[in-house]
Amino acid sequence: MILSGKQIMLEQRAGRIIIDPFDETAVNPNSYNFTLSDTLIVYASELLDASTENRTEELRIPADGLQLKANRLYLAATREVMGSEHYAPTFAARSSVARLGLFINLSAPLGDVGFIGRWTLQLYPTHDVIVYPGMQIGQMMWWKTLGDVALYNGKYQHADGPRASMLYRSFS
Amino acid sequence: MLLTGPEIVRQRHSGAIAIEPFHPEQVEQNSYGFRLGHRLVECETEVFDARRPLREREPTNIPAAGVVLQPDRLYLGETLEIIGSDRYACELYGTLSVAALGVWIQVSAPLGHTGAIVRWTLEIRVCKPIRLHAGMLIGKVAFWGVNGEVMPYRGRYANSVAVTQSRLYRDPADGATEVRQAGAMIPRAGAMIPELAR
Repeated sequence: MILSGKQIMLEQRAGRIIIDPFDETAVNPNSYNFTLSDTLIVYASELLDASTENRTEELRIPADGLQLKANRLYLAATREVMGSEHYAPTFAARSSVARLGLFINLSAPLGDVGFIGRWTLQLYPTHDVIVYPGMQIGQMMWWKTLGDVALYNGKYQHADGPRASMLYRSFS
Repeated sequence: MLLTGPEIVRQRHSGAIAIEPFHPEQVEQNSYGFRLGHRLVECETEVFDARRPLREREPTNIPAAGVVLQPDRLYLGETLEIIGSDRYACELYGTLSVAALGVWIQVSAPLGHTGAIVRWTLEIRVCKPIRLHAGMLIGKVAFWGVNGEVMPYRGRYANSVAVTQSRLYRDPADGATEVRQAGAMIPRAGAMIPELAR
């Protein structure tokens, strides 16, 4: 079951879903619209290696916008801290953003119960596009789970900005 | 909970789900297979700006011989069917057969809100040049039960009956959400919807 917008509001009020800051006007029939923070990171080298820590550079999105280039990967973050110890999250682009050809995740919409932090988004434009800090870029959904809950305690817990891949930690 | 194929049929019959036109042979185990509609917008290589209206492009009709799509371009297509529910939420995905040809049908945006009963716009992107045909099976729609009191969809794409470009520019500049259109007409599930498939 996916939570309705009304249920998201109730659960946020009860503290069973964290959305901070929370804006009631950003609630949709089945999701909550989250906004883009002003920090981006990009990988600095042409060739990435899954087994090593890849060097990154940080970019700021100025108030008057930043033009993202088609077919380049930018890691961004939500302004909101979001998560829940009671519901499983998935997230998607807003339809209006998708229609501009902008991916906000790359086949990885599913989060974990218990992750609470700022979410890393994979911005991948199929078309040059100008984005702005604070724009509503995506939407978070919550789902009822079945079975005992084991809370997330992974390497991205409590992220407070975009996080580059830490996959290298799983190579020994 | 995810609805099974037979439950989708049952809920459509009772009026809680709209799928028009509907063909029983397109019902899958836990989804309904939808088809590519006739209209297509090819996005040109201008820069998109999240705050400015796009240049309106007239959709073209996909000819009988099909249309060849190129990689590195964005196309907006549409579902042949009008699909939605005012009781369930839905998600639209590509089928394996289409994905295995290197075709995306949406750009990280599968969700269809409860109450949005529309002809869905598809964001089409391809890995390799490929000819697509109007009326071909292209994706599947799955329906999910909703937990909590249902809110109606009154967004900017309510009542869409054809491929629709982004209206993101309608967001106010401070990032707050748009004022929802008061009293927007929401077609009821199961109601007769004009201008159906040709």
